[in-house]
Amino acid sequence: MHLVNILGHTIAAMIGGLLLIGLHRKIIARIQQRPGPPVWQELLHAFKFFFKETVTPRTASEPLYSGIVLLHMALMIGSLLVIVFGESLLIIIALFMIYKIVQHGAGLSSGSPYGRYAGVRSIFSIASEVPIFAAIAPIYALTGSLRVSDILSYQSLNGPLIVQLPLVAGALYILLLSKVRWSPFDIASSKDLVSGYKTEHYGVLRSILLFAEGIGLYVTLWLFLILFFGELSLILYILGGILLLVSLSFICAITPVLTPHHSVILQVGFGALMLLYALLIYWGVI
Amino acid sequence: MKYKLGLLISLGILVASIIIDVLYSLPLFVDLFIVLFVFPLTLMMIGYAYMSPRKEEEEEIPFIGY
Repeated sequence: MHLVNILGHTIAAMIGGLLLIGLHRKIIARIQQRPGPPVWQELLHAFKFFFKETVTPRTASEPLYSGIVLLHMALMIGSLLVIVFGESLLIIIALFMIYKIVQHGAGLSSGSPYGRYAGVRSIFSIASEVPIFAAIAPIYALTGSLRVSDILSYQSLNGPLIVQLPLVAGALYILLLSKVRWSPFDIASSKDLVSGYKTEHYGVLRSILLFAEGIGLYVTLWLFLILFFGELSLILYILGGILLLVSLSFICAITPVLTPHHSVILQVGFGALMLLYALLIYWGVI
Repeated sequence: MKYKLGLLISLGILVASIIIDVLYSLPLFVDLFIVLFVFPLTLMMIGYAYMSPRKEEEEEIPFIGY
């Protein structure tokens, strides 16, 4: 695949992801009977911040403060490329784990108390990765591979995995819920910490964080559709992504943010259930 | 000025690698290096090089620490 195609995918994910975040915000607002900002507001925010003067707090520890932003962008583009190239899900898991280091580093490097709290909470929120660990085990037990391309081939022969592994889809849905903003599991950037680990990042740094966040949402929605619905047309991917997002927004709109320990208990609980399910599939009980 | 120089270098590498990739097809690890490192760096340099300066501050607020 040419560099132009890869960059094209990346830019599409940056813009599409921010529009999805804008849609998410709009739906939450409408459910809460507020008018809400326009769908393209997040995109406008990202462009606005891009050309604002970037201010570095005196307490910030450079170069981590700026470098972590580049790392965030690289991780999200990396996870996008894993899907584009049809590579292993293990790489995506590794990238999502490193993303927690980004949250931790961004929070702590700013020197702000809000950032520090968010940095500490990001360690708690590593529990959000437990459902994905557990969810890929039944997928491996059934398909015999963790490569996205192999999982797609399996589904083209045997039908979509959502029919065969509905519980796994549920577990991965919990992961999606923990990745979207304003969700009950969004403890690292919830509103009690202003903007969490991003509080002190301003100007172009904030803009790149927003773009990376957009890519992250785009990737997680696309990953869910690929893993459980297989190869679809572009229109169906867009429609599926929007429908998935609407369901997530509905939950985010009516659910308060959980306390860190409740969030961890719930996610680890889902993970344990999925591991049990994987073992039952592996032993041929189900 | 140093950001404009940085932008010139990173944009130059990005454009040159795109042209070379179209003509001769670069190896995958070079493509990944460009997309994962040079592209975000170019974005950052565009922002730093063309950021609009803040308005004049009226008075210096003393830093009292957190």
